[in-house]
Amino acid sequence: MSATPPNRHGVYIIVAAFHEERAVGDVVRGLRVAGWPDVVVVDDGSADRTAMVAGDAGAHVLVHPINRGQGAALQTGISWAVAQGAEIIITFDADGQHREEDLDALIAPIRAGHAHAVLGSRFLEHADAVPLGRRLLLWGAVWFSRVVSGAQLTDAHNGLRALSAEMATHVDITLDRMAHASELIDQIVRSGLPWQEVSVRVRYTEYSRAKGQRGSAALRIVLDYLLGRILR
Amino acid sequence: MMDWTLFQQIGVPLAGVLAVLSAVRLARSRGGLLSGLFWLSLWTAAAVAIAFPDTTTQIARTLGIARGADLLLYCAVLAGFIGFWMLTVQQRRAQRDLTMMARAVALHHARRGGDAASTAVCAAVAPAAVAPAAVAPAAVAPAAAVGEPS
Repeated sequence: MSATPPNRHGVYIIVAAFHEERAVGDVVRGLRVAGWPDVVVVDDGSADRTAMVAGDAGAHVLVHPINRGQGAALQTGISWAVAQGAEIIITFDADGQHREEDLDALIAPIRAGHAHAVLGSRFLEHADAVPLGRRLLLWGAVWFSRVVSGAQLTDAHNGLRALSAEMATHVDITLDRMAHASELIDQIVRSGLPWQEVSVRVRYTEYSRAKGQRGSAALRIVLDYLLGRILR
Repeated sequence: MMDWTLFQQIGVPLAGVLAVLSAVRLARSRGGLLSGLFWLSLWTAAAVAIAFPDTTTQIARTLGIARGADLLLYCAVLAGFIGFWMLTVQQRRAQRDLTMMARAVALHHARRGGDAASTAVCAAVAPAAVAPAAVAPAAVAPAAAVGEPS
């Protein structure tokens, strides 16, 4: 393993994984080989070998005994990373859709003290790389986020984000399933701490698209989110 | 009294018994005071409404609803919504507790990956007993060998 660049010390990368034994090993190895030592895989109650594959690849492994959803798994990883003394926490998808090359740009604004949260956006520069169906769906999600959170985002529900340790204390994901992405943005905005977007690319492989959210899930996400706002 | 319909002959005693039961429950202060009062008044009202159907119609009229049966229907729908909402709230609370429990378990059993070679990680992840057990006999054997000649 190559030496870890100093600015990557204290960076914990959280990967929530559910039935990802095929992809998670390569994701973890890719990150570690690229010089990110602390990869945390939260196995969200998978029945397959996700936890073992992740551990073999060198990740820190936390296992939910039962499936609780991606939002729950991310919060578990964030809580653990904070307890380990993480300075920066990155959320990274397990299906291989995010690129390690984007991470340095993601943490730079936090290291420089310009932001406490950095959100990856597919639409700042490389919008044409996103398939049309996805683009339409995400356009709706972005519009929804702007209306309910007042956040001027260009992307929504992008799983690639970085949080400072301080921001992490303002974050408490309670929506277990996919609506956590909107909840997280709410909490970031309400923290009053500075945040920004940076341009990232997403690899739309056949695998990641099959594992991704179907358009029909959008309604459920909206309902989950609104119910969460009402019941808080 | 004797010109009661079959429905009244069954319904009034049934609601009456339930009203008495909830009154007894309330007197013994089992369950909450509020829910006790709620069930007592509900069953009493039901008994009255079945025995004297005109009372519901009169109440309905004062509210501008034509028939007593309609009033009851509206109340039932409303009660259904309220019940559903309360279940939803409870369900969410239970889900949240479940998540916190799963999280507590995950945090308690967290395994740190090796920061050095990934082979070390493999050993840590494999059933915990394997590595120490493999080392232990080797460590004991030389000691025994040393001990024998003396």
